[in-house]
Amino acid sequence: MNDEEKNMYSDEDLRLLQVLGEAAGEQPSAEETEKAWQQFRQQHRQRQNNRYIWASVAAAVVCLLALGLPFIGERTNERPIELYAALDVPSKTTTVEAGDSIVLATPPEQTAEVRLSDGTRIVLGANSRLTYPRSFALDAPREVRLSGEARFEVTHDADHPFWVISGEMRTEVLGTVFDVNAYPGNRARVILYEGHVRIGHQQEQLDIHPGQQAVLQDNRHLNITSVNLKQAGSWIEGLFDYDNMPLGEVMKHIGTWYNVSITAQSESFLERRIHFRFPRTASLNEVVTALNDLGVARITFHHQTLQVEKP
Amino acid sequence: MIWKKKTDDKTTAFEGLFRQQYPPLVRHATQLLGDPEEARDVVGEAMEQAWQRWDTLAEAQRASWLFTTVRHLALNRLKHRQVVTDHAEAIREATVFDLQARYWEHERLLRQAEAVVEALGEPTRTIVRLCYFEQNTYRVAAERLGISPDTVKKHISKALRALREALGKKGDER
Repeated sequence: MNDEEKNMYSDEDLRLLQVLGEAAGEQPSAEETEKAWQQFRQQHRQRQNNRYIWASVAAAVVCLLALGLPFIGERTNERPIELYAALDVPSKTTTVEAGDSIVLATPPEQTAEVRLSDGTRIVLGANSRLTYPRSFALDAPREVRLSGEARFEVTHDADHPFWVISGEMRTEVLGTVFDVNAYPGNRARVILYEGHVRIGHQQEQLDIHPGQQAVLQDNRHLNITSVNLKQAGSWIEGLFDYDNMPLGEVMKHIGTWYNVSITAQSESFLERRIHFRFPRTASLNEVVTALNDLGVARITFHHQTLQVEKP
Repeated sequence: MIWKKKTDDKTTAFEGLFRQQYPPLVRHATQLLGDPEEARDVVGEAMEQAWQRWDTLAEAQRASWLFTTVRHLALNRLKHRQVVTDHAEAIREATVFDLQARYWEHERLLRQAEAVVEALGEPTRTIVRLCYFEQNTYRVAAERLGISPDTVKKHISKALRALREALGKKGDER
């Protein structure tokens, strides 16, 4: 294969290697398969599509696509599923200096912008914490630590790689715009908008390209999938913007923004896909009311916790 | 009403096939074409054809029909690419045997290979993926991982040996 080293193999070995390569290759995620199927089905309209329910609420448009999938095993768990556990966060944005480091922390429903000594711009999401040096050392990589969510626009400097450490995941930047989402208890993920980054976790090391996201799976492996950048980046524009997103995921994002604990009764029900667009400046009550109006779920407050149940 | 019932049955049956086969077919086509987007197009096209001729496809042959069709469409695209890339050349060479191999033979091998790859873990898996899924040269794979081409070669040999053992073959015997 235009590679001398590869020519040392017999045809039979090359064939086996191709099969190994296939076995090691990425398949579309369940989410992508679902999307492909929905697209296919819509092109072969067999049924009246009366599953779109539209509702307009205040200045926002919220839409829902209940897909009517066969929800296999619609069992009710005895123990509620914890979607998001509220964190201990400050009530307003704080900047604390600790030695040579600065710790920036955000409260619920707010983002904060900071420019580092090298010109790198960072927008810190809600309920998040960023630790960075007052000024970067000349003889070391630029390193910052993140818990929560942030958008990075990194100033290119080939001599000083930029590292974001978030839990067990390390993102190495090679000049670029990307999001790191690493709230405690959620799967850590990196979404790349421009440029080129390298993700490291334990022995694993992978490069991702614009339009891809790397997610640290429950099995401790990194998984790369393509991502809709417009929606993924909507938080920076002050929007919840979800197209065909499982209800469970949407609820997690709501939890991370308002810092409210969320539990659910049934797992399969959380797989329902919804279309949802709403400004983040709205109060939690308004968001809950909008979701309830759609009839996709019954969301109620109990002891500071949002409970999600079937309608 | 009867017509509607029938098409609904078809939709339900097709949905099962689609959900089951879409991921592995896209993976297979991605390996052949070196482009996940084009792979999705090809699988979509094959699904479309399967939908059209649904009534003529016996249940037992649906999966193999889809597989063969995806291969056929993918290889056709490779042939029609204006510039015959090294990649296309390499794929055609390396898959001559596969063309003749029947679907089930490929499935059997693939299951074994998946088990082997799973058992070997990282970084072998990533190395195999870079070299034989994305079809990079050893040198490029080594650069991307920041390791030496020799290490890449060692991991590839290890994977090959493991698969051969799993298949009950000894050494280079053919």
